[in-house]
Amino acid sequence: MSTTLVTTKDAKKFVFFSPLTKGNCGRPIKIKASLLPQFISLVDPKSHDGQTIIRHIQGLRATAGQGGSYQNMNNAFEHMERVKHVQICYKILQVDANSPVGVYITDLRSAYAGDGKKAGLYSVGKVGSNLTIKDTLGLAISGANIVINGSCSSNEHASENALKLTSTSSTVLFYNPSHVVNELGFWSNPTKHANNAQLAASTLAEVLMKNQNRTSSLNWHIEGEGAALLVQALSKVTGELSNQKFRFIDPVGDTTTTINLLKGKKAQLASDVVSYSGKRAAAISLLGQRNKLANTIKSLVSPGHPVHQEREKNVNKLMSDTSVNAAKFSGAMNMANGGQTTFTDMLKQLQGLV
Amino acid sequence: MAKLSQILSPEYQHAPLVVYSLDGVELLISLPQHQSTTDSVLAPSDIDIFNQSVYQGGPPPNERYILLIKNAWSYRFENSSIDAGTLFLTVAIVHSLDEREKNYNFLDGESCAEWIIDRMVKSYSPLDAESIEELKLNDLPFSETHLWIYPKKASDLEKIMKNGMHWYRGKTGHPSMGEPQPFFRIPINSRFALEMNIHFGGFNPEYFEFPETIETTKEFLLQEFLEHVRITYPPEILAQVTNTNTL
Repeated sequence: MSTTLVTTKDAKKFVFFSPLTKGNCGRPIKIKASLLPQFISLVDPKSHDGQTIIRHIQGLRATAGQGGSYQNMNNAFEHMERVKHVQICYKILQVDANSPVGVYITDLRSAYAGDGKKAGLYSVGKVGSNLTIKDTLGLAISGANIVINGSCSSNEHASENALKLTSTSSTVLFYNPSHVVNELGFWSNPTKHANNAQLAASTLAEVLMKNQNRTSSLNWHIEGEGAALLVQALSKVTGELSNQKFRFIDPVGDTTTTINLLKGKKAQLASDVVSYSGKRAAAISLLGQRNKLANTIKSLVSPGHPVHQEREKNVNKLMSDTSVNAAKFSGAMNMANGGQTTFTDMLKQLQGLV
Repeated sequence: MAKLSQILSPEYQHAPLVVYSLDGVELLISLPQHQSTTDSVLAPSDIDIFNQSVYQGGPPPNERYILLIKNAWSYRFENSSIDAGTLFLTVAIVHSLDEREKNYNFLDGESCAEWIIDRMVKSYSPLDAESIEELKLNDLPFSETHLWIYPKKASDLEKIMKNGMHWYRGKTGHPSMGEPQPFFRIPINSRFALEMNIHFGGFNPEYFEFPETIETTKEFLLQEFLEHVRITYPPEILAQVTNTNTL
């Protein structure tokens, strides 16, 4: 059953998932070693959910391709299973005549469950201790702040976080629902048929353009996976964003490129343009672009500019705070070249990272 | 996929008991573990409700309140890795200073209901300055659909009996957000009241085999939680509450 779905050359990029999945009992399970950042972003091995996902993957020795999996209609070798908030894509095949039929995990994607509410603008506030949420009346915003949320299970969840993020009793939220977060993914290219994400990005682009003519500047607070939606929207924006100021909190994805895109639109950037609080996906995302991001932030303004010193100080602190983790991360990624390493060994190397 | 019986509730019997002594009134709640990245709050059990410095909230029409509990927990579908939804709860002590001229007595059923309605009207009735500005900016005419939904008269409030205590129940929300969310009020003494606000998040119709049962499901989950909330009054307060709060 030799197939070109995973070539012999490609197969070298895969490692056994764990010592239990080397084929001594049931089908061998291998995973693409480069999926380590995705895995560690989505799965906390210390949590109950994380352990459930790991056990499920190990269980594919016996269950791969059976009842709980979806089969690709166009390719009988390709399967997908959803466990907790993670989609596991794998192929069942024999790489060469000397190998047993194995399970090859080729991709991991977020599959967060959400409330299905539409992406767009909402006014969020408080009456006493009670949270209030409503649709905004149009795309023009009267307040000073707007938040794009990262991965959140519901509008209520995102609204609570938005109030905390802006330290205000009322704000505007551009709700980025889970179905949009899942479609955009932050590790691979968005799917071609990501209609929800495209619609959300178009609406966000309209909001950005509509609020360029305000009398005072609008402060954008972009959280987590919200950065991926902003990138999509920026590609649809015509004109400048000079009247809008951006700040990223625990951004996930290519923050360096996002900042450069904003710079190209002449947008303002907050003095604390990027901040991290130790959230797993953001921390991993940072480690993959640490030097590039630091250089970009430092180059935003010239020495002598009022915010230069503060940014320089923040970036230096970020670099020093993450130097140990960066070495660990790089060490874990290099382990895959060793040959005998399993994916769980690589995970162990990252212990204590986030 | 899911029916009411297929949603797994928190194990209330194993949930921590949270106890407050509020001017002699004991509040006891079996509180499921906080399961959200939103903030949680648990005020000290012996909090002094007469200490004005522990109140938060803005000037009128905002209420001043002490946030006792802010918590959220999830409900899972049985045999599924998907969460059905989350219940967001706030429990607070409310003490409005700006209505003393009306001499409300919360231990009197009619007066308490009048106070609840007065507060609702002040908080939700008008279009706030930000909304008026938004209408102008977006060149939109005013419409009734821009206004909040809230109880406007005492008869819009429901009085419910739970664990031997009478609670006032109502709903607030905005027409743009679907079903309004429930709130509950119960007097602590003549001037102070306890409020509980509930928000359900999630409950995506996509995951329900019978989406039309979602509201019934939420009500069931709400009643289940209320079963685990108990208020014990001192005898003298209980006598007044019982006398005036007849259903």
